[in-house]
Amino acid sequence: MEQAAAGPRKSRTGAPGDGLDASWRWATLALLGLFAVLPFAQAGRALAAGWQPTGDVALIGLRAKDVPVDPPGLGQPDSADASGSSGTSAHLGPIESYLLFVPMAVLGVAPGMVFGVAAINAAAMVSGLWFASRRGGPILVGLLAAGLPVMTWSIGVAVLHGPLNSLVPTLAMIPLVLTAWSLWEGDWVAAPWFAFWAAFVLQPHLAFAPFAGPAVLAGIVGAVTTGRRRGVDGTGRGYLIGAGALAALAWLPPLLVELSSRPSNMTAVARSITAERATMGLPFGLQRLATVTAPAPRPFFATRQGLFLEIGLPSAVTVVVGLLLVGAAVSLGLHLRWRRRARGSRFLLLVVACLGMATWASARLPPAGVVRSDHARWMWTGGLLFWSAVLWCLWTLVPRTRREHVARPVVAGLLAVAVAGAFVVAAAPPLRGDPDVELMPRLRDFNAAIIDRLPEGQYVVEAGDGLSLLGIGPAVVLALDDAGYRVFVDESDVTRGFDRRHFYDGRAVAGRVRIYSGPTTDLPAGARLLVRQGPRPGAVGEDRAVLSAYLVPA
Amino acid sequence: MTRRPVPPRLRRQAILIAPLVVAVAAIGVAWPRLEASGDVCAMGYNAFRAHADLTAQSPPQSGDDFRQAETLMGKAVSRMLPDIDLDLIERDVAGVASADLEQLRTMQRQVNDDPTAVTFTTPQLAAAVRVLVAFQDQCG
Repeated sequence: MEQAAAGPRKSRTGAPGDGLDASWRWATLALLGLFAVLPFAQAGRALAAGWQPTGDVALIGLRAKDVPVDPPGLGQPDSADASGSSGTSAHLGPIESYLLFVPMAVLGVAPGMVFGVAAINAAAMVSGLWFASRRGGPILVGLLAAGLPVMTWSIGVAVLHGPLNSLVPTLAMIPLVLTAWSLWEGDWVAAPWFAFWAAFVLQPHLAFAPFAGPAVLAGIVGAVTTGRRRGVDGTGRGYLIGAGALAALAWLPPLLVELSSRPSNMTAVARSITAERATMGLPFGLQRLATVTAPAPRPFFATRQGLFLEIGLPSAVTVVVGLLLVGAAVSLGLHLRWRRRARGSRFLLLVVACLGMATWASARLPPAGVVRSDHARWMWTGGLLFWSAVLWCLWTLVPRTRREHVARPVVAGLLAVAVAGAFVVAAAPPLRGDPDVELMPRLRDFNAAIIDRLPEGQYVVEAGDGLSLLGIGPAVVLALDDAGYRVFVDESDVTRGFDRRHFYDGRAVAGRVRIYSGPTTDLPAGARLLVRQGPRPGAVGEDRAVLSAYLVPA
Repeated sequence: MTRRPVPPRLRRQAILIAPLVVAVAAIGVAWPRLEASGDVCAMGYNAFRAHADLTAQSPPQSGDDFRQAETLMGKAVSRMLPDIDLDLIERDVAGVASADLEQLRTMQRQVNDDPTAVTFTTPQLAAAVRVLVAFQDQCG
């Protein structure tokens, strides 16, 4: 407050104040409050619209439920071998399962999953904006706050509540980059946050590792070099020790698996990455980079793509403009460094380094992996960070007196966009971006009917067709497991996503529950119909499926 | 003979220009594919191969990957070959995806010349051949 009264030019953290007074702090707090509430409001609407865990999301729910009885050591099995390489591996860690366990135990399966993910995303947005405030002041906060809802709307609002492991780290990449930058600047408060976001971005899905890698490296190397140059006081040491403890806790489960299994998961992952295979090549990677950085027709993160993206090849103009902008951004970063504005330089060059590594990873993608949106989610976050960094660095080149003259209307405008964007996101169809949207409301009733008619006991659940196998089957297993049944599946390549506790071991069971989403031509003799559910009037897509469940006595 | 030192100002300007030179070189690398293909190729061909590869795994390991590839493939095919019945290429594409281009062209010629002369195991297979040849032809 003392600083405010004196008309501060810089905050305690060294962030440029741009002449804004104490009212800016209240605006920041209000903004953080808005972004803390937004994911919960959106998750609540999704739940009211019938959100249900299906497919891979249901498998994630099963893993989280199993934490107390069979603690997972790794993440979900990955499909690197489905993308042209060989070997079986898993995503790096089980942090999502552990984080979802508590809300699921308290609130129940579906509410626990969506509100658990909403809490993580609220923390990601709030901590991201907080560290943006500590590093870049009001303008950087305004730029990110205006861009966040736009990006959320573009990728699909389900990103705020969706537990799909290839989706959950999307927003968390923002605080990861900002806390890495903060450590580089010697802001030790960022250390525990950095440790948490690094684990949360790296563990659930390998596709995030290329973009996050440079940020994690920069955070660690920056902290070491800055600490050695400037020294660390007692408070700073406390934060660093806390960060170390947090990192040890987050990485302990995968570390134990790593030490006890041969070949280790990391070895399997490395084999997948380095396997000889056809790749898309550097032209493709550079085209993706240009798509992210070019402003035409509008920035990628503001272009409505949907969760299951369709990225066509960029036009010649996009390639030229996008790649020249990357070059110009590097030049700008170097220029700032020479003008003793290392702060902006570090942020911008860090973001470009992250984009560069993600570009290289895109070039290495096999054709089969390239259409998968999990390999492209860095494009949204990277685009937002790139444009925020470029615009903020350009802003720092404006003479200080002029900056202070126009800062208030500029910040007010950005915050107005942020608030309006938040309301647009909150009002959007709440399931936009979720897989199996058409089936979700039906599955709730379908599962309830099975549970109502199935006697207590142990069962093997099996699927009669593709949709049952991939989407409905896991949902039924999770629902039955949650209702107290002991449920198994036959172990095979396609059921790798189930935890080992659910693999059928040959024990005596009451029967097999066979699920269909279409014709039941291969129905075994003696099967008894439990539930049949026809499509709703006017149904489209997967919603046209006739769902049925049969009990095949043992 | 001593070398004259490069003036610092000139050196800085050279360093500042270097990223732009690299960017121009990158444009050169990214350019050739642009001329040879369109967005349908990028979306459709890759989706088609992905779908085929995932199908070949029998069954695929990730439902979301599979359905995503299937959706994209369907959209690409409907834009590239609007007359084709999408239901025909739902399955059985794995076999043709593993065939090389010459084999596919031969099969396609046979289909065009005399559909009755070639016995495809399923109509789906014939449709898949046609789609893949179209992708290969148009996407280079």
